[in-house]
Amino acid sequence: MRGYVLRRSIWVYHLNTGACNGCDIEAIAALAPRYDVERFGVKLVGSPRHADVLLVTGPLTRQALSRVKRVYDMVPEPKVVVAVGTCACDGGVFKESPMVCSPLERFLPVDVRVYGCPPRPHNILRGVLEAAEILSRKR
Amino acid sequence: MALQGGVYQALLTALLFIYVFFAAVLVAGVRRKLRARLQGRVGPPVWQPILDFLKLLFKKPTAPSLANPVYVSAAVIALLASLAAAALVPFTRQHPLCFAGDIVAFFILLFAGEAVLVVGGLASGNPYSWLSGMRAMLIMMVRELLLAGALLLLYASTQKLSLVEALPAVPPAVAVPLALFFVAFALVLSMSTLFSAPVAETEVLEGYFIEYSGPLLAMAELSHWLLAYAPLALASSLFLAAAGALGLSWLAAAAHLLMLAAFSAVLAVLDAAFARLRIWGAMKLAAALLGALLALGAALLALKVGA
Repeated sequence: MRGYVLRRSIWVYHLNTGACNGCDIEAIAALAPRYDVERFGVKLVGSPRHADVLLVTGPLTRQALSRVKRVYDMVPEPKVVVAVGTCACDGGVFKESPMVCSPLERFLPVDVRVYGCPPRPHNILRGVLEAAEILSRKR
Repeated sequence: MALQGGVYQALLTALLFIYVFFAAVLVAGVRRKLRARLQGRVGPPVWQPILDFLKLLFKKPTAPSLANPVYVSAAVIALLASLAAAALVPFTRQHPLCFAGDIVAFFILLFAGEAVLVVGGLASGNPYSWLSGMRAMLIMMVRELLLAGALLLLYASTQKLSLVEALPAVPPAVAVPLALFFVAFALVLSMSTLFSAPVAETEVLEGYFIEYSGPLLAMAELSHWLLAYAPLALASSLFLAAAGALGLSWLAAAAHLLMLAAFSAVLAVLDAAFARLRIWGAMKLAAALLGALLALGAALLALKVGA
């Protein structure tokens, strides 16, 4: 029952760590009424303390690093991290920049990666649902 | 015999609390489902609030560094107050929780249910909670004054201080505007789209719930659903009483649930049709809407229409 409940009630907190806004537009499109994510129990929340899934977009800039760690600590266990976009997954075109400390998994345990520049909304939604599957198996 | 009677009463009270829990969740679930259907979406299942509630119970609580003990105790007290307020509303003549003066208790508990949550939000130390709490308090000041007026009208029309005795004695002409008052009151109280200024997503994020997490958030959410249920339940009971259906025993419970689902549908239509109001607009509309219905009920009572 615990697994079913965790799979069917997925609250997502969206965190931009220096993205160009491309992934954010697609992520918000995925979570807006058009794709009706509410039918899967997915909901966008405004506080990391309410979240199950931390959806991260953008290359991890040095300025954002301490905030990202702080927000991650605020999400209650069990939790999963979804990296959305090539930048969040491996740094993308900003990989060699001295202002960027990507990839994200150097600092946070990333559970699902959704590649693309930007990824399409249905891919992001699939990533969130895969994250929910992982979440349901976490203790 | 006295012991058997006591056990029977305790069992009935436990069943009542279970009923109230599921009815409050039904109201929240039907509103979400119908709002989605009105927007052309499939939407979540009606039992989604139960899944959300259970999920939150499975989460490990976290607390902000600035939080004090008031923050933790507020969610528990709010849940107890709102559960008691919701359980006080009778839907049959054999209601297990009724006493002389429960109209006053209903008013106090309904007020305490949200006021304590706001105080808990303020105690979390988050500036968003402060902003949201101030907005919620402004709406509460308008709302609770008119609720006191409505309960006074209920007393004035029946001369009874117990809900289970007062509801069947309300003249039908007064019962209708009074029931509509409580439906409108539920709309204002539930912080749905029109009146969602205290939890506005773009300005104050999750409102005074922002720092709550895990089981404490589950309690806060549940108390919020119960607070929205209580006035709707009172409206439903007023209609049942006006139709003479309050004496139907447990059949009345089924009729009560159907009526609640119908009211939830009305609120879902309003949720889907109107955009959010700014705080001053919300206060003015709440005062105008509730005040007009209250004035209509008072005028009908004064003119002895249908008496």
